[in-house]
Amino acid sequence: MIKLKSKDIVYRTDASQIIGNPLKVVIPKTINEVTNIVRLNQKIIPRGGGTGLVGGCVPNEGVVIDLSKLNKIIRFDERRKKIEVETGIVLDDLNEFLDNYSLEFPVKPSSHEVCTIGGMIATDAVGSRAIKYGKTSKWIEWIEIIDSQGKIIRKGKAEISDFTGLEGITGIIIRASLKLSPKVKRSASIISREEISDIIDIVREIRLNSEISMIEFFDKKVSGLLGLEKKYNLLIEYESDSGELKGDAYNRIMSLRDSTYPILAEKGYSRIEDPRMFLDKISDLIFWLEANKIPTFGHLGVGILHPCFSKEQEKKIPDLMRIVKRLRGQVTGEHGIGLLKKNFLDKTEKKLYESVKKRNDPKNKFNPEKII
Amino acid sequence: MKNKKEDVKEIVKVDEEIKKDQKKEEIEINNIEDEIQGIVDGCINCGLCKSLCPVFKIMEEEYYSPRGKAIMFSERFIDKIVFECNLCKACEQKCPLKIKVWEAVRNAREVLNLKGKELEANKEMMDNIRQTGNPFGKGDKKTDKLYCC
Ligand SMILES: Cc1cc2nc3c(=O)[nH]c(=O)nc-3n(C[C@H](O)[C@H](O)[C@H](O)COP(=O)(O)OP(=O)(O)OC[C@H]3O[C@@H](n4cnc5c(N)ncnc54)[C@H](O)[C@@H]3O)c2cc1C
Ligand code: SF4
Ligand code: SF4
Repeated sequence: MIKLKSKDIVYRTDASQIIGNPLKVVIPKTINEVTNIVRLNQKIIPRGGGTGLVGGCVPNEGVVIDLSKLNKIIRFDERRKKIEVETGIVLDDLNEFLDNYSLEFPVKPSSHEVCTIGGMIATDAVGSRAIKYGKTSKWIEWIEIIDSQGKIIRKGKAEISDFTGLEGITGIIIRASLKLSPKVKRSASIISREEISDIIDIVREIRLNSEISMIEFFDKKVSGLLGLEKKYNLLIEYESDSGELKGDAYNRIMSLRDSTYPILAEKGYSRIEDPRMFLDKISDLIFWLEANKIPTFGHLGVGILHPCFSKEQEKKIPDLMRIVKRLRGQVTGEHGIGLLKKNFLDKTEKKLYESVKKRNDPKNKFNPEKII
Repeated sequence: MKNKKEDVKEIVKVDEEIKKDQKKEEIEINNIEDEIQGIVDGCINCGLCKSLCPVFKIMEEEYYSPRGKAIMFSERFIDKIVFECNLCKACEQKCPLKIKVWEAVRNAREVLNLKGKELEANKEMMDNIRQTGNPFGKGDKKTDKLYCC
């Protein structure tokens, strides 16, 4: 590896901690600049907040294009609950603006304070409120992308699937029109149980309750680390004041929830995975994880778990993927594929990605070596 | 009167002392760099600290973020960008792992000072303090009282 001796070192990695090497870093202030960069360069790595966990914006000699300064609100229609933005805008900054109108963009990854709308669209981010609000793509009206020739093209609802969740391999998403949701008062409760079967029963019973917007799960080990009762715990968010934790207590528990992965990473469990499973298969997976001393938490309401592996445990990841597939789950529920999960795609999935890539970026200009 | 031999001896002695001082300084720099690396050692690159850093909020470039600084320090790379920090400790407050990036920044400034690579404005400020006792160079009298933060 080339030893970079410039401050561009900071762009050689993201939250995945995989190390790459940028040939150049550019931080455009206008969309015009982005189109020029695309026209003039052969290998482009789009980057938003750099919170991706699969190495999606880790460069291998290409030009990193940091879109953080393209963060303007272009148009806001309060009555129709729609907003047009440049995609470098940070989710929480957008929601701070919308708070004045009692509206919000409701999809909420735990990285909401720093992740950008562009990164969320590119990974089709899910987050803790998925049970009620689904994925990011559900809230997109249209996007504008810059294609490999540097042309700006608008893609309507029916065409966005070539870009949402494609992790920047098909073009740079530069503007988006987003649908908004009314902001509601929220509260939360914690339910603790000794047996995993009781936890699954509770989730099955409450997950269709429209008052509930989040069902988060923490296994016994994670619960202990977070200072919760050392049992299996569910954190349930209500879109009403039905929960016991309100106001400051609600804010505190939500912020603790957002810190779960960093706290585990600090204890050495820094490799986070995100399999998605049917609820009736999840306890099998949890038993396997416990037997292997792999702590886990996740958005149980939608079947996404986050097992976190220490360096020594990483060799067990292929086993995890095999088990997930055997139990008819998906190897990634929200973080994407990037560099880390390429090897776990099956032939059909690979072919699908390859054909979308070919259709949109035949010269392999955007984010090469990612996903496929 | 000294003869030529004594002159040479003296020069050699001074030279050795300079070398010793340089060696001492190198060791000191190395120690501080170790310390800096140690401070950011646990950083997991999550980026959550960016949300509260006032410098990053204005500059909007990863170089200025606490995470960016932590990445540089982890590779023992120290740039003048360390002077772009308020030492406000907001990063530590936000960081789930309580990494003290501000402390690493303060130490990194010391390294740049020892290497003679501080900013012109800093040099001027330190000269002012030495000459007038305050960072603004106000007053013309040399004083033994220093007025600084
Ligand atoms: C502490 C923590 C908690 C997290 N929690 C969640 C969670 O709950 N749910 C979840 O889904 N994810 C989560 N993530 C992962 C990550 O935050 C999300 O994937 C997020 O959507 C990435 O946004 P970003 O702006 O940081 O994108 P980046 O990391 O900058 O980029 C991610 C990918 O998108 C591409 N990209 C970025 N911007 C654009 C653009 N404008 N056009 C084209 N491609 C682009 C990049 O090339 C890369 O492949 C978490 C991460 C951390 C560190
Ligand atoms: S101490 Fe420096 S790096 Fe940390 S938040 Fe303040 S300005 Fe940013
Ligand atoms: S300093 Fe803390 S908050 Fe910032 S990137 Fe490192 S671990 Fe995350």
